[in-house]
Amino acid sequence: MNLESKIEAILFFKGESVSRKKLSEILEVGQTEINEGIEKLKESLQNRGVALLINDNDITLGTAPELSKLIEDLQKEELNKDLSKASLEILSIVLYKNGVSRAEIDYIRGVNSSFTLRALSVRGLVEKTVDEKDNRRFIYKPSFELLSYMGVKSVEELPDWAEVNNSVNVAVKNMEVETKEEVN
Amino acid sequence: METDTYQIKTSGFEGPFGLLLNLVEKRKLHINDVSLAQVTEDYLQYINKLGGLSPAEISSFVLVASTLLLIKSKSLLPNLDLTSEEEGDIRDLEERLRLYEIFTKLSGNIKNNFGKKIIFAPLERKLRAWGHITLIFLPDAQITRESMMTFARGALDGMPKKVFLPKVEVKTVISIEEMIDKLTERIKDSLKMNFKDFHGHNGGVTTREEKVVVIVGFLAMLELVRQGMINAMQEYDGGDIIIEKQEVI
Repeated sequence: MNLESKIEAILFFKGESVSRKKLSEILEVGQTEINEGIEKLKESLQNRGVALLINDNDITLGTAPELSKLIEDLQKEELNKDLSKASLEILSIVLYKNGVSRAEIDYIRGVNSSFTLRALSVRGLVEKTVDEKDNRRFIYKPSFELLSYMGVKSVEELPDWAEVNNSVNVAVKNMEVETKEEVN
Repeated sequence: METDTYQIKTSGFEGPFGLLLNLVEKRKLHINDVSLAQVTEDYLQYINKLGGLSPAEISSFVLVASTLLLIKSKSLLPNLDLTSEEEGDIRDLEERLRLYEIFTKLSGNIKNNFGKKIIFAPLERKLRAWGHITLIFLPDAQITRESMMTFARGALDGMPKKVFLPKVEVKTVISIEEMIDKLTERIKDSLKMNFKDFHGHNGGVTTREEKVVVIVGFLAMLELVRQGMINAMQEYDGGDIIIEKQEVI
């Protein structure tokens, strides 16, 4: 059996997200091979009932976005799809910036966003990790659940992603320069 | 002076950017110093009516208002020299507003797509239902009745104590209203005066507080000119401003 099939089997069995690192440990192959295997699996799952979701270093299986209606009907519980204006703004920042601190969100929105951000964390739409550059603050990222709700298999599939992500990063970098000047 | 003022129907803007963007878009303008100067008056009118917000929320509105007043003053008086810090504030506001505009458009996108084509994750396996897996509590050797009490005491002692910080009242340096009253009063006294006498720093303005007093004083003077209560004239560029009480006809 080839590597691609092994990755598929692990993801199916686990039924939850698995990191690239974990896969290379289980299968005892290097990071490059794993990445290639993931790419192949992603391609072979095109136009199938199951899709491969990639969120940076974690991957997972899910049902194809086109089958949303079918599975939704199957699931009896009502899915809550209502989001406030503030939530939508924050989600758009988290998705398009892909890794953003609360200070950056506040800066872009001009208001304190901690309350809404907490609500979104509780709903499982955003997840926070400690910033590698500064461990006193958190970085907010889209969760698999958020990607699932958006019907995209990775952030790059969002409309105008590359263009917006680029201009946002430039703008935020300018901001970093300014805040540093203020501190000095 | 703008004759057409816009009525804002949506009562709640969470922050200053939402309000400002709304005002600019209503006039079908792009974000730049000219459009911002045009909407300053509507913006100030709106924040005058703000109520029920926390001081932190109001302060974010006021902070933006101060930059808008700067833009407005510059548009009325092209000769007004701005410090590099002030110019930075203006550029910063424009850039942030543009960035915010991008995200408000994107959030519309998200609203349209959210929950439309959901990718469902596999359901969690119900381990208990398989019968042979049950969760149990396995205490290790360290956990005894005595040691648990010691741990509990340690945890209780380690609880942070509530610290009461002394409250400090924040003093207002001077408000525009006070300055307007002061100006009206002094003009009544001496029908004609100059701006330097009025702000009282004839020898030159150096400290930050003195600058603030002069700026607020200048804005107050502009407001009185607008209300038609006084006339102001400047004989030469950079010269002193002579303030006169408007003759009542």
